[in-house]
Amino acid sequence: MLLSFLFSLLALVSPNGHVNDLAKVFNSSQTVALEQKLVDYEKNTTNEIAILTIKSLEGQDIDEFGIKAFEQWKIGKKGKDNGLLITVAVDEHKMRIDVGYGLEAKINDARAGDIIRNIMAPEFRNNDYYAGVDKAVDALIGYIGGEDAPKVVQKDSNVDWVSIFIYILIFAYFIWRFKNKKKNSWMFFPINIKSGGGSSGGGGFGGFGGGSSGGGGSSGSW
Amino acid sequence: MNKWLLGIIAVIVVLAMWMVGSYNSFVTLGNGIDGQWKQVEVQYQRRFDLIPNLVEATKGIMKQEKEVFGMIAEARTRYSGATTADAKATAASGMESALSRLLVVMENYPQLKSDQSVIRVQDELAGTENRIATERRRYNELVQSYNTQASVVPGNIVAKIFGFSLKSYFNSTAGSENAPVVSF
Repeated sequence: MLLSFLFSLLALVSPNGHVNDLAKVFNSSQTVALEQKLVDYEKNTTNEIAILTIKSLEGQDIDEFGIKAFEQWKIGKKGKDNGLLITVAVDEHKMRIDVGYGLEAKINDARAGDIIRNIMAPEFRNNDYYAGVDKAVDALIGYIGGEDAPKVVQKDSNVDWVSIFIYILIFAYFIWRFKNKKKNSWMFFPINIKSGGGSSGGGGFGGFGGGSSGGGGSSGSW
Repeated sequence: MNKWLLGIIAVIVVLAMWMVGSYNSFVTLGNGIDGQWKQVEVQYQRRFDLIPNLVEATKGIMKQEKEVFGMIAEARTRYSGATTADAKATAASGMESALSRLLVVMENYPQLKSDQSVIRVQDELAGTENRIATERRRYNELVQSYNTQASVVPGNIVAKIFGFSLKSYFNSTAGSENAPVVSF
C-alpha cells in the first residue's frame, strides 16, 4: 500500500479537472470545450473520462504510466469502475486508452486499439491533438452507448491500522483514567482517521470518484 | 479493588485486544493475497481463451509454421492440466514463451499486419499481457505489505505465535522475462 502510494506520488500531480493538459497541446478554448463535454457526460451517465497529456514519459512505459495514473486518480465511480483515461505522451509519440473494470465490456481492447489507430493517430500526425482527442472521446461515448455502466462487485477490505492503534491508545487511556471509578463510565469514541477523496485541486474540481482499472485498454503510437 | 491489580488487568485486556486485531489483520491481508492471485489467474485464463483466436486468424497464412502452432497447443494443454497455483504459474510461463515464438514468427508475414482480425486479436492479447502485469504487480505489493508486517516489531511476534509465515513473491520465473511483446 505504501509502495503504491510512493509510486503514484512520483508519477503525477493531482488532477485539476477532467482535462489535464500538462503538455499544453490544447489552446484554452479547446480545453474549456473538452472539459465541458466531459463534465456534461459525467452528469448524464456518471461515467468519468479523463484526458492527460504529458510532454515526456521520461523512460517509462506508457502501459505502466497509464495504469499508475489511473490508480492514483481513481477515475470512475467507486463500485462502478466506469472510468476511462486517454493519455498522450507528446515527445514519444505514444498514446494509450485505459479502461476501468466496469467499461471493459463496452470498450474492449480491440475497440480501444481501433480508436487509437483509426482516429487518434491520423489526427496526431497532422499535429491536431484536439481533433484526435475530441473525436476519440466521441467514439468512446458512442461505444458505451450513453448507458450507465453495470455495477461490479468490489473487493475492498482494507484494515485501517492507524485507527485501530489509536483506538487502543484511547481505550488504554480511559482504563487508566477511570481505574478508580465505576465500570460504566467508560466511553468509546468513534474515530475515523481515513481521509476522504482528494479535494485539493483548484477550480472546484473535487477529484474523480474512486474507480479502478485492471490494465485493460490499448496503446499505440503515431 | 487494588489499583495495581486493575492496572495489570487493563494492560492484559489491551494486549489481548491488540493481539486479536493483529491476528485478524494477518488473516485479512492473507486473504487479500489469495484473492489477488485469483485475479492473476483470471487474466491467465483470458490469455488462454484468446490464443485460439490468434491461431485461427494467422494459421491460414502461416501454413508451414507447424512447429510453433504445435508448441502453442502443447502449452495450452499443459496449462489446462495444471491444478495448483505453482503449476499454473509454471505452465503460464511456458505459454508465454510459446506465444512470443509465434509473435516472432509472425514478423515474417507482413501481410498479417494489415489483416483486421489479426490486428484486433493482437490488441486483445496486448491488453491481456498488460492486465497480467498489472495484477501481478498488485499481488507483489500485497505480499510486500504482508511480509513487512510479519517481519517488523511487533507484528513479527504475533506472526511467530500464530505461525504466519512469509509469503512468496511472484517471481519472474524462466520464460516470463521474455513475456510476449505484442506490437506492430
